[in-house]
Amino acid sequence: MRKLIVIGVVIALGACSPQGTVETDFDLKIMISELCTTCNDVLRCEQSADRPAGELPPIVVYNLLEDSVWAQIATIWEYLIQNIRPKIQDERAMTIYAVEAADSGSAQVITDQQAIVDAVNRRVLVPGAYVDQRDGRWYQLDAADQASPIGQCELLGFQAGRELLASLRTAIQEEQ
Amino acid sequence: MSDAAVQAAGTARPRFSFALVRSRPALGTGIGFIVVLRILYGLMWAGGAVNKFQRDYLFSDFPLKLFTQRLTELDPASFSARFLEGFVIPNSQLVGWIVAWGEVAIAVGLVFGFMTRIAGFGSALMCIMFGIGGYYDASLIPLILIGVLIMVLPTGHWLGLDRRLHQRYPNAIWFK
Repeated sequence: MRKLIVIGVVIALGACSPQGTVETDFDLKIMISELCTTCNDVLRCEQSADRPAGELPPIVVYNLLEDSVWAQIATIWEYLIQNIRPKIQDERAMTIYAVEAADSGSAQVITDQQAIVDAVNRRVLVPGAYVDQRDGRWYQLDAADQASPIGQCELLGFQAGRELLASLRTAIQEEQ
Repeated sequence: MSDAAVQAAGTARPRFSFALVRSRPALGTGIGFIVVLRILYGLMWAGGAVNKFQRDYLFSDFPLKLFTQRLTELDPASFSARFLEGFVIPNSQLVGWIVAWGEVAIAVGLVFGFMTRIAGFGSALMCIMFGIGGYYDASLIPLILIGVLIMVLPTGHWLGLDRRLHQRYPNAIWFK
């Protein structure tokens, strides 16, 4: 009985303790959550017109996929330890669509990629680049001037995202 | 009513102890496993409850912002989206209170073995409501099954307050 009381006191103290390191920020321009396991996010990034051509295509669409069933079940462990070790980053499977120009209808797809949602620095890390969730700016990782963004990203809504992916897949199928 | 009297009446349930594990290994181990599962499950709910109070579910607009954000991640035509928009968001404060205090009650019931079957039912119901409310993922399935298991089995009698309370109030359904 005393042990149960001790457990209760510890839990109550936990409720009064400072929160873990990550606070939910509802003002992010790119609202991709590190906690969502069933989200399918479509992030459209476009390079600034005045940028010289670099390694990254002018338009890139990052499709962050939902977790697998087993990965979703595995989050039970994260629920159990959430007050000891809050979740500070999330790895998401991703498909990348590289578009040469907005009206070209030409696109390439790269599957089996991975994005990392960094909840502490509020960034989405993708191959060769990252997106600042606060303002949606797109940065190239190995650029000479890493402080200057190469473009701007937009998180598309549910319907707009689905329509864009459908049009990209159609364009890719027609090319093949 | 003492344990001996209850046993003589043929209504005794085994109390979990290491002596039971030694004398009846299969039964003792099985009961021990389920008791540990119950307590871990209760600690998971306790962690969730702590999280709710840390984020001030009761007196801030955090629930409203959270549910509104979740709505943007769902298919607008889905039942969950309509349920969120039609009921949860307009009553976000009430829902916040129900979730926060509900998790506290479930955690107390499961960790201390108090009104355990009702706590198990409550946990399964809460998980189902999370799913309906747009927070479905595959982890809810094993969580609901654990809740049902606790509802069906007398785990509070194996280790918990229900055992003594049932002896004191044998006709009360809360402690059966």
